Formats: sequence, structure tokens, C-alpha cells
Amino acid sequence: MRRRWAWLLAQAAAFLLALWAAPRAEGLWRWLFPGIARPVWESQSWFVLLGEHLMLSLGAAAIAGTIGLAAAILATRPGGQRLRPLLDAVFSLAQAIPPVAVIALALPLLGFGAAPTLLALVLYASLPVMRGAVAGLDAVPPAVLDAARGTGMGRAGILARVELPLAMPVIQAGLRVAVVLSIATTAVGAVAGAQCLGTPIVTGLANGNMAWVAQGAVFTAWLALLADRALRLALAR
Amino acid sequence: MAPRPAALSARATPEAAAPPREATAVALLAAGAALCPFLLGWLSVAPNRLLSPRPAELPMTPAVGPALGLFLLGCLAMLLLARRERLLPWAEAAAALALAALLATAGLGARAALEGASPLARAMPAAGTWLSMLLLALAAGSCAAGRGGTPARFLLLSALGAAALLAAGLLDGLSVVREAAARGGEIRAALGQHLALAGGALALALSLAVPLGLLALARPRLEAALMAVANGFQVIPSIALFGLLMGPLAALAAAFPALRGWGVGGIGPAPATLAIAAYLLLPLASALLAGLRVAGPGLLDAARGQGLTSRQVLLRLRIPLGRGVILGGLRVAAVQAVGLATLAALIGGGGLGALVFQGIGQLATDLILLGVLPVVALSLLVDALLAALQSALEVGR
Repeated sequence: MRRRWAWLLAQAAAFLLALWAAPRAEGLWRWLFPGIARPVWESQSWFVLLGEHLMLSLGAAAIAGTIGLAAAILATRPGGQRLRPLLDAVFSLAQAIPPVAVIALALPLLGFGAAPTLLALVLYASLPVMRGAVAGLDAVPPAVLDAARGTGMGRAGILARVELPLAMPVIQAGLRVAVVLSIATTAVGAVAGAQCLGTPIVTGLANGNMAWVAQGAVFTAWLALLADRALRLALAR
Repeated sequence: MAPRPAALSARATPEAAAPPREATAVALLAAGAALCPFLLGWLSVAPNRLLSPRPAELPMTPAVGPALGLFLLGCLAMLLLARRERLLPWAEAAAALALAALLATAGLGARAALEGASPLARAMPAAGTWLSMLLLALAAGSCAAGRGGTPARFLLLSALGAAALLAAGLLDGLSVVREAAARGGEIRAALGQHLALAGGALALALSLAVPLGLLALARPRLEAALMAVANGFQVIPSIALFGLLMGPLAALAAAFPALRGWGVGGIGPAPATLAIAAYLLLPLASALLAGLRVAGPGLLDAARGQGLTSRQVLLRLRIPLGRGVILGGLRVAAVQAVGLATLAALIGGGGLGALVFQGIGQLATDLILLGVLPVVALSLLVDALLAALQSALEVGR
């Protein structure tokens, strides 16, 4: 376990080093992309883009986690069972609409910038959390609940000290999917003007600069893989 | 998943009189759908295509009145019909009626609002109308949730209703319909490209996932490798994978100019198709393997004992028993392909995304809608068709 963490830290350090080196490696980019006049991405610091990317996607994941968990708790209470069909309908409708469509539709209402992306991120990231939490809470055996009631615990106590701890592995799996999903979807937000690691990709595509596209794509994919690995490691039991 | 004991449910009314579980959600959504346009506005009107729209009153002409009445009636009918389990399909149909009436109200209202205005003026549904449409769709989805998901009846009826309204010219006042009329050829071409991208990617992914899945069935190490690669692709953001494929393909086309004749290059449909196919590997391969394993070890042993060859076991046992699961994976993959093909326009691959990104560039809502609405319709259609096929196969078993 400790060796895996060390390995992950080494990978994260390599990622940060690559971000630091990218603007300084003009020779490499000139060699890889000989036809391009300005192959080095210099408009913004890579660290600023990384910070914005993480702030947007982790912030959205936190909001989505709260919403998703609250909805799941509500839907698994005896009185809230009636909301189940609505949650199912939201889930299946969201699957028919790609996130980029939500970003595009929100753009005229919310304007260029991070807002349309934040909306799409919260919408899409709350679904896996909700689904995971509902499945986890549903799977708590009724006998356990009966036993808890038998010891005189109240509803809130049962939820906090029995149901949530038992459902936690499934809830965490949903959270992991939500974080990875929002890191990936944030990159698409660059088309609506959100500052993130996807910005060089979109700017490069608009200007026909393949070097910027490649740099943005490598760092975006790298961040997503790192985040996935870190979360898998953190949640491994 | 064991159902919760009856003691937990708050009510203990007799079965026959109790409204179904869907009733509350449908009632809330129907009430919301009926109220939204009144609270948040029916229409917006802009002096021309470039100026931003302002909220406008719904003109109460003799034509608008009946449409509005029908809309409210549809919402009420949905609320009441959802209170009986066996009437739920009719509640779904009422949602379609309400949606068509809402469209007619907006269309007729737009026509009346533009009367006497300059020919450049545009009218479009306001936030309240859009939200109401969304709530109606969710209400129909809630009605269908108990029966396994797709509100096929609602989709079919509202598509027919919208087509009839369009054909009758009732929606001509809406700016998105005008924009569509002006760009008819462009939209058809984009739709064709979109289908080609999604279909091509699906075919490519199938041609990889099926042979590899069959080989991996008895080879755990190959299965682990296949799943690791397929899972790895899922983590990479689509926009990054599109970008990553451009460089190598451009280099390939530069090294072998003959490939250009096949459409291989850094920009265009080739990298887009490859990238989309990469995301489809996971749903296809995992569903294929799960489906082929539906036939349990005991059954397989018995079949082999009867002298069936492994080919016969596959064709007569594994595939017939697992076809529902396999088709489920195909359904997920096909819907994803339609959605992912939207991003292909970023790297010059065309498709409906081209309209979306053009609309984003000009901040033109109508253009964005002309790209997004067909994408949503297409993925709902693909989903409903494959769901119907899936249930037909399961019934025929």
C-alpha cells in the first residue's frame, strides 16, 4: 500500500514537472511540429489552468455530491419512496443528452465563462452519486434496521450510525465516478469559455495550431488518469 | 435487493384504491408544467436575429385560447390518470397531448406576437415554456419508470404531434423553425454525417470487441488486458482523446499520402470515428462477456456431455441465453456514439455538432437548438428502438 502511494506521488511530481517544463521545451515542440510558427503555449501558465480546472471540477463534484446524497437519502425514506420514479426519469433523460449539449444550451442563458460548465457538471456528476447512494442504502438488510430500532435508536441515529456507514463503500464508488466524470467534462467546458486544461485544445483547434492541441490533450488526459488512480487508491480497502 | 417490509411504508390502504407509487411525482411535475409558463413567461420577442430577446405577453387571440385550454386540460388529465396503476400508459399519452398543445400555444402565440412587426423580428419560447416541456418529458418518464424506463408511447405521440404541427404550419412563427427552414439542406447534410460518424464508430468498435470478447471468454489474462484498455479509455476526456489522435494520424497521412484517399488525416471524420469507437469498447465488450456467461457452468457441462461442439455451445446456448444482456450493451454503446459524435465537429469531422459550435461562436440560440434537438431526438430514438428489440427478444424466449 505504502509503495503504491509513493508511486502515485512520483507520478504526480512527474506531471507537475512536465507542466513546468512545457513552456521551456521549445526545441521539443519545434522538432515535433516543424510546420508551426509558434508551437509553445504561452498565453497562460499551465499551473493557472490546472488550478482553474481542479477548482471547477472539484467544486462541482462537491456540490453534486451533496445534492446526490441528499436526494438518495430522501428517496430511501419511507415517505420519499414516491420520488423514485422521478429520479429514474431524470437519470434516463440525462443519458440521452450529452453534456456538451447542456453546456451549449446553458450558454445563451448564463453567458461565456465557467457558469454553463458548472451547471452541466453539477447535473451530470450528481447522477452517479445519487444512483450509488440509493443502491447502497437499499442494500442495508431490513434485519439490521429492525435490530437498530430495537435498541431504541431514532431515525436520524439509524441513518447516521447504521445506514450510511454500511452503504459507504457504494457511495464512495459513486463519488469516484462523479469526480472522474467532472474532471473529464470540465475540459469540454473550454468551448464555452471556461478556463481549464481544455483551453489550449480549443484555442489550438480554432487557430490550426496542432502543437497547442497536443499539449492540452496530453495534460488533460494525464490529469484524468492521475485523478482516477489516486481515487482508486484512496478508496481501496 | 429485498423489498422493504410492508411495516415500513407509512400507509396501509387497501391495494385496489391506493394510487401507484408514480402518482406523487407525476402530480408534482404536471402542476409544475402547468404553472411554469405563467410564472416564468411564455414568449420572448427580439427586434432581429442579433439583438437579445425580451419577454413578451402571450397574445390571447381566438386561436391561442383553445390551444392553451388543451394544454391545461392535458396537464390535469395526466395528474388524474396517474392515480390509477392501469391508467399510467394513458397518463403518458396525456403528457404527449399537453406537450403538443404547449407547442401549438407557443407557435400560435409567436405568430400573433409578430403580426405587424418588422419581418426581421423573431419570437421564441421563453424560459417558462422550455421548463414546462422539460417537466412534461420528466412526467412521462416517471410514468414509464415502473415498466423499465423508456416512455416510448410519449416519444412516439409527441414526435407525431410535433410533425403534424410543423406540417400544418402552426409553428412557423417560432424563430427556430424559421432558422431550420433557411438551413434545411445544411441540417440534412449534418444529420447524415452524424449518422455516418456514430454508425461507423459503432461498426468499428463491434469489429474489435466481438472477436476479442469471444477470444477472452476462456482466457482470463486476455480478458484482464482488454478490460484494462477499455476502462482506461473511459477515463480519458473525450476532447483530449480527439486531440491526441490528430497528431499521429496527420503524421500517418503525411508518410503514406495514399491513405488520404481513404479519408485518413489529422482533421476530419477519421480521428473522430476512432476516438468514438474507443469509448464504445467498454460497454460492448463487458456486455458481450457478461451475456455469454449467462449460461451457467452446469448447463454448459450438460451440453458438452451431450456431445455439442464449442461452436454449437456458443450458437445454441450462450448467444440465445445472453442476447438480452448483449443487446443491452449495444443499446448503451449506440446512445453514447450519438452523443460523442457531437464533439467530432471540433476536429472537422462534421455532424450536428458543427451547428452547435457555430451557434456557440455566434451566441445564436436557434442554431444551438438546431444542433442539439436532433442529437437528443436521435439518441432517444436509438434508445427506444433498441429497447423495443430487447424486450421483443426477451418475450420471444
